[in-house]
Amino acid sequence: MTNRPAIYVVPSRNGSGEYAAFCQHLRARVDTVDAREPGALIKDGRNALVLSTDLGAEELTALRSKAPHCSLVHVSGLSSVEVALKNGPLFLAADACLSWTDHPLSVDLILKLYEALTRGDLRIDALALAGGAIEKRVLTSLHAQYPAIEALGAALEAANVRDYHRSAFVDATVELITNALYDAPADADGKALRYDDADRSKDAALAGRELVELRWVVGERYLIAGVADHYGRLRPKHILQVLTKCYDAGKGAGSTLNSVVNTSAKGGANIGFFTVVSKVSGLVVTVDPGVFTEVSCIIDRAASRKDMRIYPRLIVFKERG
Amino acid sequence: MGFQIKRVEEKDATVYELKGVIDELADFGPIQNGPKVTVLDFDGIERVNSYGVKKWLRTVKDLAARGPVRYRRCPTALVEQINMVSALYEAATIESFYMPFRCQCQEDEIHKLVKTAEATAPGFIEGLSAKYPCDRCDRKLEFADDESIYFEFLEA
Repeated sequence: MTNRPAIYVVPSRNGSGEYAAFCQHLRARVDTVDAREPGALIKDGRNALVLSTDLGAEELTALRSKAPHCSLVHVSGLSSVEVALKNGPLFLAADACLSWTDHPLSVDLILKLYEALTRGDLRIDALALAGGAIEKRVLTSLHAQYPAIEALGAALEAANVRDYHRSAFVDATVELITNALYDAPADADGKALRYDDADRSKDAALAGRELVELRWVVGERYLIAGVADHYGRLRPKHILQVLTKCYDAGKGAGSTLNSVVNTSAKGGANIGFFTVVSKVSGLVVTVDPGVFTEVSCIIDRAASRKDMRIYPRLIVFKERG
Repeated sequence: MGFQIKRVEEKDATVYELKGVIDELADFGPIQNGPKVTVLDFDGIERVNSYGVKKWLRTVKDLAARGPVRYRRCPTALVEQINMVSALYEAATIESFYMPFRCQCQEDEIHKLVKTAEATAPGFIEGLSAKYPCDRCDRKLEFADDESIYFEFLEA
């Protein structure tokens, strides 16, 4: 078995032609692209980035069990996201793939992600391959988020990041921080410690596991912010539950997230993670269970506001251990 | 910038001019129903987070239960939230809102204010990209968002 990474594109059964275009696009960049059936991949035994929109549950399970070197599966459609989440600790998913060739995350970044995966880490240090120096803030109190966000906004402005991307990036980062501060902390029995805080306008000092770390990179092409907590509680099923609930609520003309929003005095609004997904080009989640969670959001500066509305989002989940 | 509220009396309305960020720290307490229509002027709002949406929704539902509420000068960030959570506008009437445009000659968006009555007129949305000239060059501004998504709230 060779360790040389390869990219395989599993042919689509629906014959939409999208794969052919995407393969062609990839081949222009790398020379290791191949298109083959999942069964052939299992026999091949090489490190592989597997891209497919319509692998079934059984095929995914087979890949997971027999070909762990096929470390990445790219699927589309929420049902496929569900399949991917249930079938492995690692996945790369797009929630609604309209056009492979126009994906807002470039092939270059997909390759960088894959290279990072082969080194076993997807934290922001690895993602910083996108370029730029890493800025860091450790939040030592709940309200320390506000000056940190101000610093982030100032950095974006200094780098002449377009206003729409600035807003989207700050919005997404704020939601990730909120999750880390209020959703992540739990006791040994898994009981949430801060989620039910009725008055989130009150400040409180943070120490030990409560500390939250914000890091960001302003690259020429990509904006990346990573928010890390020290609880490591985020599971794929949580992502799936939130996305499913929001997508289900939003199906059909005139349907919105009214039924999802929590308007009771206690708890968050329940739309934070969905807001993040709606604002960014991609999300990379790295979890070491019980130790840390880092959620990194990525915005492609080349994507316009309109692009961001209709392009698919990439969601990458990597579990250590 | 923190959240600020300034109260201004108009002939037929009590206007609350909101500034800053609608988030955990936003205190809507000073906004109270009076004998006149309650107008929330969002022109100074920079952004809203999910917790802010929750507070805003609780506030507007409470206000609307006791009297009419109107939204004035909703920034694009609020329009996005309104489209995502329709209960935010179902409890109020939107007087006016901003629309995002782009021009090749500049990086940042240009936001144009429009009254809802004008935006709902036949042909308005279809003719958007030929409507406004750029202040810096001779080109027409291009609508920056997806029309079918951005104006979804007008269909309600």
